[in-house]
Amino acid sequence: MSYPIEDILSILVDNIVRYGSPFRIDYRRLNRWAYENNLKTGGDTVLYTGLLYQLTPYIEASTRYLAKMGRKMGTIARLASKLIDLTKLLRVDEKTVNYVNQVLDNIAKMVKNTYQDIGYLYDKEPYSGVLLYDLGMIRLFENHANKVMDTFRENGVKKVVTIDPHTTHIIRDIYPKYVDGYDLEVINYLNLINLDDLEPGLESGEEYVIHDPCIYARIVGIIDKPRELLEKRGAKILEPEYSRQMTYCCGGPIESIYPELSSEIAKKRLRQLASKSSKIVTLCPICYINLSRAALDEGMGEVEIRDLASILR
Amino acid sequence: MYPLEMEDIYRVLEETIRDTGVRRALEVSSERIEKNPMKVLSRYPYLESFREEVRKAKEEVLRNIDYYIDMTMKSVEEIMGTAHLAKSRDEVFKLVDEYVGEPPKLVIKSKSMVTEEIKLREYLERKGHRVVETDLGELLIQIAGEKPMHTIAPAVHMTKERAVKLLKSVGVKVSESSTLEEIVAQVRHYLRNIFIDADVGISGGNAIAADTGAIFLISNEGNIRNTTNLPPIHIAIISIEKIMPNMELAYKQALLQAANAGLYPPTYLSIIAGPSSTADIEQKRIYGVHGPGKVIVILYDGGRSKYLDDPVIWEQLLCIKCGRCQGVCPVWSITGNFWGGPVYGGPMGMGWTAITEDERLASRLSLFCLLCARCTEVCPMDIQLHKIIHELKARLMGRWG
Repeated sequence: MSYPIEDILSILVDNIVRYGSPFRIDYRRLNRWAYENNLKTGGDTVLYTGLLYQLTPYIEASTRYLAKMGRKMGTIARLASKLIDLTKLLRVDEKTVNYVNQVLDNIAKMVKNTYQDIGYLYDKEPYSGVLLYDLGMIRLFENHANKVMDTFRENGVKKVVTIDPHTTHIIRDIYPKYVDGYDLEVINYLNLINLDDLEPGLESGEEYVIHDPCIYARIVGIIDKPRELLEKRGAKILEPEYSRQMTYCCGGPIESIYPELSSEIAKKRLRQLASKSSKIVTLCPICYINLSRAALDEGMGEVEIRDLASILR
Repeated sequence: MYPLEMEDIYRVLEETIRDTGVRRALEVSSERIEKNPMKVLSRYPYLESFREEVRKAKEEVLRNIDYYIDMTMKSVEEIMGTAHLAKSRDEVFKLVDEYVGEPPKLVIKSKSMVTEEIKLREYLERKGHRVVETDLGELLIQIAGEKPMHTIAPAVHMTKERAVKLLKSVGVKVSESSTLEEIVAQVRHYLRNIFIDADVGISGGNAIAADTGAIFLISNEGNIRNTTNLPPIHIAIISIEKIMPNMELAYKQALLQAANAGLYPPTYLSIIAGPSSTADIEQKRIYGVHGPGKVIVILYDGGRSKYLDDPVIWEQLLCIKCGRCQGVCPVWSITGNFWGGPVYGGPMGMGWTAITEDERLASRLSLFCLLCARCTEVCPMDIQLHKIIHELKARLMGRWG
């Protein structure tokens, strides 16, 4: 097999360098939630999504596209990187767009309980560059991180509220090593939500199996809070065989390097989770995408995967 | 030649993913490698306290490696052993030639990752010696002409059917209908005379104590005791990072390795301090009674000292090669050491491949790592394995764009 790794990486990286993120995001459609919540533009404290949730429909569509193209991908990828913007070839699923807006809407409303006048950067919202860092592309990452920090400074941002594990880790723990005069305060939204602000809304005892993201559980140190929040909502939490500090990866991080291996890992994790409950809670958009696709591939239609934020309100 | 290019790595991984036999075997064994150590460590909680002590001692040795090499060699000589330091594989070959002598000789081996690194078995066979691996898993690997799949359990990827086929091919009296008990009994029978007739026994070492020159060796099959005890000559080839400051710490490191491999207590722990001897007649000491009359220790560098000052990868040298990181790794549990270099694979295999083989190969392999950090979570030496792997990625991809 010859997997066109260099072509695939070229497309993603070119997009990050040219447009600021791995896929060109339709900000109008994917920032609907921010307009609806009347978030002000910029300011001292902003909600920082790092675009990871907004990328969900594009990652989903591109994986479908790659699978369809199979091994012809080499030529196609080369053409695409030179001539056309790959994003235009992708058919983004409106259902996923709506789902992402709903998740982000819930997060915005919960965060507003603590920071009433929290801001957002709208179409200036920068991608964190986490893919560049994870692939070891340090020179590009350093450039990117400094641009992101410039954007924050230009908009008067001093404190960011992050909403996913990868963005939280990269901007809190990795940026300081690559950005001169780093002085950003980073808080994860899960640590902000007050248990008292949540109302029990689920049917009492509704069972969910929880999938801890690797980065939250082993690096950022968020394990108990999502459980407390779910319980407050009335859910009964089931622990999968590998949980908390020993949570199992969804396979997502090597999606661009080797989709087939990534998918085998996703299926394995999905089976571990689904053996406890068909209702699965994720806390990271990458886990959500990978496990959802595994469910589709395995013909497990009964499995329902939801982001924690979609359950909390 | 061993695959070095990305295309070869993809080909090997694709073959593995599609091989249902290998996949099934790896699934079972990775679960065992994940769960057994947890059971051991919760039952014997004192092992937890060894970790920090052993790590500190290993850091001390690495910081002053020349001093400890020197101390170890002097200690070995004091107990009437012979000690050498070999920088490269060629230097090891030269020394081994000297002690093994003119071919054809019968050389028996216990499983040792260092001899895998230098391909000592293949070298001796090329010279015209007969070499037999005495660890059952490693014997299967030898017959198959493959590489070990796990540091402790080299043949984890093999099914019983495959094992029978391989053993039959060298004349072990087994058949498709043999039970596991019958297979093991036949292997015992096959190896018995080989143990008795062997001219030289070659082992590695789980640890060596600098203060006494004593070698620590762990085994469950009992093959190591036979290999190091029955032939008249015992050669132990031990990599320099296995040096521990003293007996107590060497013992603790050996126990820690066994526990984290999920094999605790280890059935056998041999401590070998020099040749066998007696002074029972007229108080005159004679060497080589029931055990070997000659014990040779070869301390092997093999690229390690080059990495002592590496700001990130040096940490790999603290590794006690328990293989626990492999069993918990989501990638390894599907690919085994097929995700790896010629000898080492999985999370610990990335750093070790860089040190002992080729940093570029290690970097290419590292691209397949999820950076999920399960390996780092379980490492008994607290090695930041995912950071080593990220660093390897960065050394390959850092200048991209």
